[in-house]
Amino acid sequence: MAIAVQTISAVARAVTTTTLTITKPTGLIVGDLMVAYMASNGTTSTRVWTILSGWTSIVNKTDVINATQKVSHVAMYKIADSGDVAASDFTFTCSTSDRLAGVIYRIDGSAVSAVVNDDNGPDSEAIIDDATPLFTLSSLTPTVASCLLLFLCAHSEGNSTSKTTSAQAIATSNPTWNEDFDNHNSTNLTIAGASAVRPETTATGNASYTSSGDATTDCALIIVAINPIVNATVTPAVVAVAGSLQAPVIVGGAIIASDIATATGSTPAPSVAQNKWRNSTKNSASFTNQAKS
Amino acid sequence: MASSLYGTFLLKGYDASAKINLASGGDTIKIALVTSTYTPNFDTHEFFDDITNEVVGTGYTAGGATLSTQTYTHDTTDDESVFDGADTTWAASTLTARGAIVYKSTGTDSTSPLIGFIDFATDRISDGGTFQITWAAEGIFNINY
Repeated sequence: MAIAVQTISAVARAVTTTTLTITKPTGLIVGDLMVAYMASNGTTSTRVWTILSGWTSIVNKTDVINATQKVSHVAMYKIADSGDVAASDFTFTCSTSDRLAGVIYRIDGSAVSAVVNDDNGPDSEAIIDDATPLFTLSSLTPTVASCLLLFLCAHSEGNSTSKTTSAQAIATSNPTWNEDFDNHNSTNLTIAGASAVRPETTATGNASYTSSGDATTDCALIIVAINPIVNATVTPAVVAVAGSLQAPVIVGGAIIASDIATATGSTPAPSVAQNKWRNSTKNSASFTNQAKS
Repeated sequence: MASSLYGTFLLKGYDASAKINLASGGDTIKIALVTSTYTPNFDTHEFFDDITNEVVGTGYTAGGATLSTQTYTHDTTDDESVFDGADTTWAASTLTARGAIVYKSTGTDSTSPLIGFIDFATDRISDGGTFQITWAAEGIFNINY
């Protein structure tokens, strides 16, 4: 299962309030990853987002300061459990009543233990006055191939009621971004998100996007690298046991030679005495055995 | 650590009162996972209740998974008896394991005899994915002659 954004909850926004209720993403099941992104904007006071119980903060930036506007934005995540599946919505709280906007992603195929590989939290402090802001993201270097990058931004300022977001990009190995949402139908505060699976594990370099509607716009950005699931395959060698018969020691009993026993028989040559018989008188019937000569 | 059969298993193989039926359709053989903290003792560990530091994690049930398609055959080519089974998997799991225990499950740990320990050499980690043991072509273990 490849990591992928499945659904985006309806983006909620509210004007001058401290709570923001976002509908549960459709199709949510136990084990899905939920990533929530919220932003608030105003000219005065301090706005601090509360991390919901059971959720883990990714980036939580309070009052990124600009000349006239302040933006606080926060990203947090949770692996959905049965209670989340049973819920109908989630309510997030900001400390000061102001303009609020937020969204919840439903993602599957993500790691569930080490969810966040990297984020650019330290670099999202600065808010930039520019319709095409360029953010320094030198620290964002995913260590796992094919992380899901979430490109989450908020921009405000000016009186335009339609500040669209487009042209999300990173400097190095820029993937093809899918624009997940672009909420720009209300006053001042716009939030937008795009996502892409990036195979590379190199540093992303700087990031940029275009904010239409005003020549100068206060822009803030968070990029989060989400780890894909990790499979483990073990291929152990067979456990081999060698059977052997040990040489026995035999005590007593007959020892039987394995070779054929060969018996060699011989008949001795007879010894014949050499006698000389002589009939000296001829015609005699008697013979004299003379001594051997 | 190293992979090995437990000495007590080899003894049981020739003890009619305690023998383990490894053949297809025989006894229930299970594969359990342990962490790097477990140190096998091939001389004294005999039953599953001797096993410590079994893995705890999402997608893993205590006692492990049942080995499916088990076989115990005679390989006349390589001159060995081969015990084998289907690859063992834990889907949608988040766990860290260093080794696997092969044992006969009677349903009671104290009477479930151990067969062998498989050393993974390093910790193997799954995070929301599938943890799979792919058994060697020559089986889980073999006894050659």
